[in-house]
Amino acid sequence: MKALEFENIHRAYRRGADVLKGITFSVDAGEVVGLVGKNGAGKTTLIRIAMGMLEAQTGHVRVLGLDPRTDALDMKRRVGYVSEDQILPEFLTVGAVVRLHRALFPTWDDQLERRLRERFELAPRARIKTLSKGQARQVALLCAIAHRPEVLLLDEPAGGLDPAARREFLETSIQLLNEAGSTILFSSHYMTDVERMAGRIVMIHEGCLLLDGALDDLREQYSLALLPRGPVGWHDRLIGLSGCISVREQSDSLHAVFRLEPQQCRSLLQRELHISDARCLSITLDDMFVELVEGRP
Amino acid sequence: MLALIRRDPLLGSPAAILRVLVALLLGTSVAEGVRTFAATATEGAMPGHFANRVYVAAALWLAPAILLLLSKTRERCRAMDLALPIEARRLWLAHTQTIWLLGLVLLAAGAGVLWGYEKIVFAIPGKIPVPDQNLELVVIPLAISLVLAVAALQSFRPGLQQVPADRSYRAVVLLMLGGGLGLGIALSKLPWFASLLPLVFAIGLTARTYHSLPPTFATSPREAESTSEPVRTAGTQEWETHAETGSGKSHSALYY
Repeated sequence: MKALEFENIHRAYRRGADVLKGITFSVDAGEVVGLVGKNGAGKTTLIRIAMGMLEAQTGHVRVLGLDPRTDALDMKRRVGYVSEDQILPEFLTVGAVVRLHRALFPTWDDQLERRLRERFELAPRARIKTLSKGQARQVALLCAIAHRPEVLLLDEPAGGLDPAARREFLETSIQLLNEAGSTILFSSHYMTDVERMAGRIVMIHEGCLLLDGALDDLREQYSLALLPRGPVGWHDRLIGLSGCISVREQSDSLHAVFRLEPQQCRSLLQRELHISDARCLSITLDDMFVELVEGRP
Repeated sequence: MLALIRRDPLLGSPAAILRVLVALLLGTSVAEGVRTFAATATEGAMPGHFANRVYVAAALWLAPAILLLLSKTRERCRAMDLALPIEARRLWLAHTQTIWLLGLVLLAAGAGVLWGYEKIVFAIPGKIPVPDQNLELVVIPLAISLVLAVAALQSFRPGLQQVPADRSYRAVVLLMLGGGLGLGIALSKLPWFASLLPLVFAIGLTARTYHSLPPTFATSPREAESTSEPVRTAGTQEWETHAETGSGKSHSALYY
């Protein structure tokens, strides 16, 4: 069963400036998907469309089979959402915020709420304005997951937190929702977080889907070739090779990403371009991101 | 509804309310001071009765005007509310009621300041010949005008969580403020039952907007506008050719 479906999503905030240009992918129930991309790639817009806060100008979105705009209430009762810019009312206490959420979600789990409050050491009488940024985010997380959502949408949830708070936040999200088999779509700049949490990544760049695959497959089936700068035209010859995804020129070398294992990549380069001194390495998510996204114009 | 009003963005900003209250005290006091000074200087030979009423109405209108211009009336709910299963119409109505409530409280407070000023001035021996404020004639029409102005203002781009402070919004606010004051003054000259008409209109407008709202607020002005087919850029196709599909990994296969 598909928990999230995005089909040919287009979205622009003003004419001629498309933020999303035909994004299509789906997320199965129980999957944990990391949404990665540069600032302005369209991650937040995509998640907001899934939450019904924005409407896609073309295309269809389904969350648990529901339309986020027309079936908003039914959908939101079954979805948890945390974003970096989600500000809780400062004058309210932790207890008041929790009570508010408890009243709105029929599936609220009091035991889980208590467990989370103890784990995060959140005093019910503490006012939101007295909490640190990390603690405030923990309150938001508590409210997002204590109703046992079927889908959790996290938009840069750990942005602005220190590494320890970030780790605690993400591990709690995963651990607790893992128990219930919830589906998670989260956006992040931190590749280490993505590698830690996700089973699959969806990379978007300038509103287009750049890469969508299981993380294990990416590690095993992709490689990075580091080559010395060759004669004019090498760039085009490399990009023309079967399996080559991107080529990036560095000051004294070329970086090429192949959808091949390192050994196959080495053989291909030797056979087609007679390059014997290329270094072909397994690619990390960080490298993949830099080569595919940062290297692009 | 009370819980929604309690955490409305407008009430969640004590600093803004404080600013409005200070402005209210200063504004009405200065306005009444000017009126008293003018009356003293001319030894009671003030302009006509109607001009005096206009002046008093404008002094009273000052605080609600500041509320509509400077506070968070544009923000119909908190960002947090967008993630919650609460209908946009309920949030919208709670916000509209909050502005009404606060606006009417400010109007009443302004009237209280003027009334108190009049009592002090009139208590001075050798009474200054200040024309009567006629508060009782002005306050109710102004309150009805305020209800209508707020209803109209909240019916501007009602599907948005926060109306952008662009030129058209500022124009609408100024129109509502000017029109509201004018209507209040006009109603003060008419029989009391004439005030029922704008009140009924305000209720009708509120009901119409309430029922027209979508289930959820939008966060972008584009939502309210017509949707156009976006242009597919040349780069789109290039990127799409690189997109690969892959099956995801379930929770059971996660690692730390």
